[in-house]
Amino acid sequence: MPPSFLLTKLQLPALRPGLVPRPRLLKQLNTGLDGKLTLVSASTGFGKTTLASEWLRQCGRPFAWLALDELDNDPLRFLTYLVRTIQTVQPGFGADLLETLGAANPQDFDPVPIHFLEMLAAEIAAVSTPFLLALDDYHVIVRPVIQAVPQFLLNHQPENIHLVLVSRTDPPWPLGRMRACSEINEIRTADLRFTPREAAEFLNNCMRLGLTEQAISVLESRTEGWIAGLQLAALSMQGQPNPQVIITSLAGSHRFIADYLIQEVLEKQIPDVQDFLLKTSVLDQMNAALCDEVTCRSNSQATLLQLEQSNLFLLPLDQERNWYRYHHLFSDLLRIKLGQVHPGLTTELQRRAAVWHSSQGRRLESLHYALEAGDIQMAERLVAGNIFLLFNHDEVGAAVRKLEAIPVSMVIDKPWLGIARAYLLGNNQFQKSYQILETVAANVENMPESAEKGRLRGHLEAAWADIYGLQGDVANTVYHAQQAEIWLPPEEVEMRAANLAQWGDILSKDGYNPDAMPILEHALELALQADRPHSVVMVSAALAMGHLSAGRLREAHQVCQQALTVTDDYQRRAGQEILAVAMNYAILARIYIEWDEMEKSSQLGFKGLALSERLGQIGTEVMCRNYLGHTLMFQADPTQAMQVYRRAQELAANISPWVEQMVVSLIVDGLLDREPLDETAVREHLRVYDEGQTEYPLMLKARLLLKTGQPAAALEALNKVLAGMSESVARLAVRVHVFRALALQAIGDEASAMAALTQALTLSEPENRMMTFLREGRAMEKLLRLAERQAICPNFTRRLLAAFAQHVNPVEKPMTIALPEPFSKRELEVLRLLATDLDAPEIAEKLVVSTNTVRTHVKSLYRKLNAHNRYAAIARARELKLL
Amino acid sequence: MLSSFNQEPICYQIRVRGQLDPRWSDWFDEFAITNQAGDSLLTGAVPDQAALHGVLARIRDLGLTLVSIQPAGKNETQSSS
Repeated sequence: MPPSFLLTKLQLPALRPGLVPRPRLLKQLNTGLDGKLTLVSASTGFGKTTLASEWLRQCGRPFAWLALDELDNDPLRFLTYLVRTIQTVQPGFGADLLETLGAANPQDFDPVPIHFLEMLAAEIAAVSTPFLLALDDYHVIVRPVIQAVPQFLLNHQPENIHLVLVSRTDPPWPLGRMRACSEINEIRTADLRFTPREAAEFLNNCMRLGLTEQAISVLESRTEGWIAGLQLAALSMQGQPNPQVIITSLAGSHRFIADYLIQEVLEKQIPDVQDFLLKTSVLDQMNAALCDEVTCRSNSQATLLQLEQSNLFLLPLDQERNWYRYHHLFSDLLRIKLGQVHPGLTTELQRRAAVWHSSQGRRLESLHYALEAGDIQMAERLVAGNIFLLFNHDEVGAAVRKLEAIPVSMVIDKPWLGIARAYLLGNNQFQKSYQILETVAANVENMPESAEKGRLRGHLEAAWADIYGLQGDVANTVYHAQQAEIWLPPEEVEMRAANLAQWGDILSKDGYNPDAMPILEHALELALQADRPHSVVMVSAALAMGHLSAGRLREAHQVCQQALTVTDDYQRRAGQEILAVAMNYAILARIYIEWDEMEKSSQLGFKGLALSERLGQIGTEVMCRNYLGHTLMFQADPTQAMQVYRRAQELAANISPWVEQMVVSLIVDGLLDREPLDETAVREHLRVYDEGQTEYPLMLKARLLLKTGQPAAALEALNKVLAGMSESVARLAVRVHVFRALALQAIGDEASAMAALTQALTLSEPENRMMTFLREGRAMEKLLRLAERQAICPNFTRRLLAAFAQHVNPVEKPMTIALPEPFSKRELEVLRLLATDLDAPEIAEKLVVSTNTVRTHVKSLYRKLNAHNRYAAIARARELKLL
Repeated sequence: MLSSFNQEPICYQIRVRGQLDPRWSDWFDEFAITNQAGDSLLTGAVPDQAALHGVLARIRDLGLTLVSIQPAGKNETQSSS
């Protein structure tokens, strides 16, 4: 596989041997380090990137490097890469920023919100050492909303960052003003041109041409020091017995030098290499196998090495020299030549590239080349029946954009592309997905009856089931999943497996449902039959959830572990992750909480969170956050726990009220774990419930009664819950018995309390449900001591008491989730002005008070908001919806 | 509603340094290429400003030196192609 897209973007290009040393430019660059900005601006082929990377290597400061491309004109993507780039200087930088970006809707970041930029600036200011942030190929950024980001950093510049822009065009900022203030150091075309001396060094030392001074002077003046031109000239002369011929003809010619020279360079190569260069020019990135396929040959590996060694504008992308690309100018020129030499061949070559990528399972790249070739039919075929594979890619967003780039008129009769679009949108744009599916369905219904029509119907139904499933709509999910199972051809085992998993999953939504298990088990059988690790992993998660809701922790654990093994195997074999494994991490995080292995749980929770963010699977992300929130709450860090929970709630609200209700339940449950109890916070959250209650909220209300000294009322509520339960709902029953035991003990009925406790312990011991007991705190510890004396479930009881001993007196961190002290009207006014660009004297002027008064207000605002600086205060205030 | 955005294509004449082979024309959005005194004239119609900037970006990316750019009458396009 090619090096991860992400990593090649963040890697400083490898230094090639035989570079012309440029001490004068390095010196010139060093003088600008105290300013705000270094701008290396010149058109293509002047060695900008080479110079910048050489400078960064030896400038003595840490640096972060980001190579931009056209796709970075998406604010979310740009900012994500920006933060990740800075992480190469400061590991862990901007985790919260990434979190915000991961959860954001594209429209919220178009334009980028000021408070986000402020947070970014504040976090950069907090980086421990001064560093350089280099943005290469900045000219690809054309959208003003993104131009605004570095501009903001320049205007509000944290002092420890120096910006380096490498670009073919000047950024659209007031550079004149910056020049006047000596804030900018520029290296421009005139500086970058090779001087006669550098040209001589290059031609005679690096390229070993042995040219006379006069010849060098002709070349230098004819190319005007344009390095790419000189390199082309040198290549055309290498091995030439009489280079003077070329020099003379160059001097007399008016032809565009690159055009002329590329011809010379090509003609100099043996026909085989010429053919190779032209045909591979259509590839953005290439390895030997891909080149073999596209050029119909078998010696590409040797040719690539030979090209790299002869300086033929071929850049290795990884240390192993598996993947390469051509210098952009070179491939542009080659592509033009290709069009001239073999008219019409370009699309055929792109199509071959598409076919090769498809055979490697690299469907997204395949789709890219198919679309480049304008082959919508092929794109349609690639997607047909393979929709699920598009999911297991790091860059789902890019896939959506590629699909969206196809004109609607061209896809109106391409149902597969339509369904794929709906799926890719499905995660957060339900309405749009509905519309697309409606249109596709109407078109499909108009098709004459055929096997293909039936297949399409099956996939459409599965897509509906998926979208309804994400929203927790049981009836519609089940209906469409059933329809899908009817229509899908039996041999489409992978799709059927996914569909059945969805079906079984939704059945277990409100807890244990015996009907779900056979469906889920059948789903796993099909996935194994399909022999697709991605499916196995996805379906395993659904099955594990089924076990979980049936209270079978150990079985759930085993299924998830198997999924992890499948993932590891695949990663070793294919070098790629299976992103769908995120859900398995989430489930394991949940299980380890119950087993009182909090460290393991948060590790897996964070892993799952990172993956699900990348995949854009908000359902899984919500789960990971729920469990992380729980571990944080339990580890006495309620403030951070609430942050994690709050984002989960926001995400959940986008999915459906049902999911949001589930998150709120978990938050309440977590809050109830805490002592002393923050009753206001609990009631605040409980208010969100509607009264058509399921068992969980009812239990939580009982738990609140219990915790607020109303055991009789709690008992009454619990008995009601119990009466409404079927025998099979064992999962919830454990906690009902736990609560009943506590309530009974509190009203002095010890015998009944022990009976209830016995029931709870007996149910819990086989699955090792420790947290169910541990989270009840001291009251439960007391109760367990009684149980110990009566030898009730002695082993398990002893284990629980030992765990209690370990958990005593966790260091309580202060709780700041409830609204802090009330704010005065003036403070709120100051707060609002703090969120602007005004400084303290300006705010004072606006409010007609003294600057000191403003400072006092600010100080008290910081205290009430538990913030240490302006950015944090604003961020916190926004969180509390004060702004 | 779309009709209000439908502009008449505008003809431009772009002069770049160096003689370009006319066969490059399909790379410049079908601009016709003629040579004149060591320079190349790219003459053609673009639907809008965005398309024009696309052509200019291509000139930049090829390392060509831009000499001048001016609107041209329709007749000129026809006569040069």
